[in-house]
Amino acid sequence: MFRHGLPRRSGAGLWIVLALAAGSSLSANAAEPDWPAAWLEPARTASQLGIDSFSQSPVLEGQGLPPVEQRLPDDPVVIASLDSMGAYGGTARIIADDRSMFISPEGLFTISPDHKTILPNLAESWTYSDGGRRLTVRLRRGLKWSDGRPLTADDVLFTVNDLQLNSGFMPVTLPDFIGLELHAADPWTLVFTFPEPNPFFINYVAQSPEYFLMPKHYFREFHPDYASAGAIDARMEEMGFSSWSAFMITSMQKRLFPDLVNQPTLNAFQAEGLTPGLYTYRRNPYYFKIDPEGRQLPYIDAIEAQDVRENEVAVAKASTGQLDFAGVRLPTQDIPLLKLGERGSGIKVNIWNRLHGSDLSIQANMNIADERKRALFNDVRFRRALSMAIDRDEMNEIIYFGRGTPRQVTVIPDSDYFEPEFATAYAEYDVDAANALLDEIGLLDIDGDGLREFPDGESMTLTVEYVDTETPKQVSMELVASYWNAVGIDARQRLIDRELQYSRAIAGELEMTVWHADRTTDILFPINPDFWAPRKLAASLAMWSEWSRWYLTGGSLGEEPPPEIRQLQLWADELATTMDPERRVQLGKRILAANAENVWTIGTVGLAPHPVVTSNRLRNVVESGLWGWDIRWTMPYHPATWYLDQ
Amino acid sequence: MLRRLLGMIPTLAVISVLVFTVIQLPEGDIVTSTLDRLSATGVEMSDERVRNLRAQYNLDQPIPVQYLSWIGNFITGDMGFSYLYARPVNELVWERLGYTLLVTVGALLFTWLLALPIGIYSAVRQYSVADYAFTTAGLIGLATPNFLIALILMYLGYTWFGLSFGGLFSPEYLNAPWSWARFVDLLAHLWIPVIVIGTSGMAITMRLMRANLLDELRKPYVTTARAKGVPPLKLLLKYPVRIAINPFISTIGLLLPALISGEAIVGVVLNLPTTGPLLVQSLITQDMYLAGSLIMLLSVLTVVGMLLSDLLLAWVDPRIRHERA
Repeated sequence: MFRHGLPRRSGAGLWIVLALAAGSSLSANAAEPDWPAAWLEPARTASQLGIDSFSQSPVLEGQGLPPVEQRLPDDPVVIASLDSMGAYGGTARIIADDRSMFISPEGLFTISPDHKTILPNLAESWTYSDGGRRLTVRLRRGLKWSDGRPLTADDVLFTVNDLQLNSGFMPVTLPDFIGLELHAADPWTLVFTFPEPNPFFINYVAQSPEYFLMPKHYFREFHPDYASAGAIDARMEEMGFSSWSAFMITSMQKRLFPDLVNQPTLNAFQAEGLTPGLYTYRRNPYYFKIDPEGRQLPYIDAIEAQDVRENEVAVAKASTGQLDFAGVRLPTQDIPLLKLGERGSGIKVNIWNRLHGSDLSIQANMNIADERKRALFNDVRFRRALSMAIDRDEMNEIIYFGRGTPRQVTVIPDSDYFEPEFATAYAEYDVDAANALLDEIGLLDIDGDGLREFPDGESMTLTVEYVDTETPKQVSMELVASYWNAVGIDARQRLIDRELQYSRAIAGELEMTVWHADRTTDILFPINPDFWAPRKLAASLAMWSEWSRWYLTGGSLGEEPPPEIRQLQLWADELATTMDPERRVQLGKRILAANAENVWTIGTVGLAPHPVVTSNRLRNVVESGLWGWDIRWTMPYHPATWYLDQ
Repeated sequence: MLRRLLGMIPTLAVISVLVFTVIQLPEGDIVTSTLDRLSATGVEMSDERVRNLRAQYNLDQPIPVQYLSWIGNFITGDMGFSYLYARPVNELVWERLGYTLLVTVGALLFTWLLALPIGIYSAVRQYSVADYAFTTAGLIGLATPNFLIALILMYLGYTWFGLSFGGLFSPEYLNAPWSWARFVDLLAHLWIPVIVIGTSGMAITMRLMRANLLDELRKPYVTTARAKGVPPLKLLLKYPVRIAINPFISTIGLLLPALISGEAIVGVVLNLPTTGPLLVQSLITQDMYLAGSLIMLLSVLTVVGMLLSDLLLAWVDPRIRHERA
């Protein structure tokens, strides 16, 4: 596990004091993750394990459903539990924002808890052929949607060919679908063909299952290829949507949150009711996984998700034992408070680690219009000086109780592409070196006010505009600004709106900004190395928008990047297509090494502690894991095996 | 009367243009805000894609066309479609209005039942210890941010009575059909938002009542009545209090707009199924029709509320009636 490699600070002062005051020990957090070996390999099936009798939750009896044997697929998938096989029953209490974590999305493939291996799921196997240009995926037989209708290749064909590749629905094709062709060799065999070798397509399918699996039998009556325009218009009018595509887009986006009442699902739970204060879910009677005793998963019968919008209320509910599972709305800063709740509220605070390579990615716009600032930001000495002026150890102590890892913006340590020096390059606190570099550039304190000026004596101010979201950006930037001030750099901060961040970032108008860096696992880094190579325009990437624009438009817009930046783009392109695993690692490391050396973005503290609170009655939840989008939070840790000990 | 009614039309027309303009002012719209939320999914936020989505949401038409189609529907009672919730705005508002009414009226009654008698007492016993004590308590209530009181009361409610945090119901009753037990559960939760929202208005009501009444008490007719031997309590309640209470009646009309926006922040903190949080959410996500329709509804209710207040005042206070006649 990646935890081996982390420098563990022993003097975690505040943390220890508070944790001891709360009467708990640190042992839970130091525990070595101990996954069932079966999780790391393709899941076995009932026939492989000799399971021939199946049973179901008592709540499903007497509902007029077909017997469980007929609802399960031909050869059900067996999932081992972390600690113990569970008992059926109960209603889990969560808040609505944690529903995507409690109800993991089911796709053709899934992600191993090693955070790099893709494993079969709804598909039983896949093979690449034709030098990586053809991907053949074989579906399991007898899979069913939550309404009992069969899942076949037709559903995937519908989603890909009739939606993703339909210009009426997606006038601009998503990058991962460009040039893609899909046909079915038989009802259970899908054949994807690509114009270029596409070895990481399976990562994309595993990580974003929603984009490949829409129930055709449900959605065909809303699609102009299958239903009459008049009938569709009438339905849209009735539902209030302006067009069938607006409805479908909403449906597809909402699938990211398992919210769709009546729309069939493959997940362990199906939405049942959505009222202003509460979302309810009930078990999917056609779920395709069983436990090693032949009992159909999930163990839990129902979920009640309360719509809580304030972090404070979520923390209060979690710390007083009113929730069985909570994570997404719990800030790092509230860990001591939550720990206090362990004393009498019947909860456990599990410390996971956010997979953000750095909670902050500090970006200086190297394409900015202002000539002097542009020269400055393109000077590697300036970026190194800014980086070395930051006291990351102190930030780690103050903000993260010493439990994060001071590091630059790079991949996580258990990535195949990781080298320790990528995280440590120019990350040591060295005020003298920073001052020397700034002097060398010619930024001197001419008027003696303690701040450096441009060589012509004009005052120099850096403006950092950002959105305070997801990670503790504001408190971090306040510290960073004070460190910069100590070396004579005057940095002003301004909080801005998300929309402004988006429009100004892609227009290249932000002088400096801050985002957080995910896509640091081997699931997403090889497909989207966006923080390390300019190939995309996004709110999160404000340091090189013109170079990205040049890349995206084939050179017709934007600015041609200098050779070392162009090289990043070429390496990233090759990384995405090469079928040679050694070459792949070599390219990934080259990209990251160039970033480490040039400090194109500045990191602070990464792999930050993230509290995941579980009630004492919720069992089988891992004590520590990676928390983040790359792995869909809980996908590798099998939430369907969680159960309530009544 | 008719003139008053007709006068409302141009007022509302101007307001509707203002509302629509203000909502269009900020950078971005529901499309960029949706894409932004989805940016983590790798959805490309390219210009083309934004334009395509706008076309699908009918956001690519000229602003005046968008305005006319919106206001036309609004007049016929169709408040448009919320992209965020993927449901018609009418449904969203209606399912929340009952609870909003309950909380707002509850808070108003709480304020009045407590603050008016205290105000009267403070005026009659001006500069007494109790007067100072009530004033201090009222001002503390005014000065403490609502959300803080909400958090404290939620904590106390949980530690003393074991109430679940936030909302108007315990989780087990949220979707249950109406029953006596559910009603009791509602009452057990209702007092928190009622107190929180009520406290903020307490000091103002108290002080206003005190000041109004003090003015009245100094008037000659009070002295005369007192000299004639009218019992003090009867005198107090029948004449000066009746006049001093008029300003409050004229604020009843403001209750209507408060239905939409009054408890917004408290509603968010306390997680209430009311319209306030809906308004906040719609503004943050730039859900144009939801935000526009809610604000428009707010304006209509304000204008109608003011009219109702005037009518009510004329009914309560004969002098106003006679002035007009």
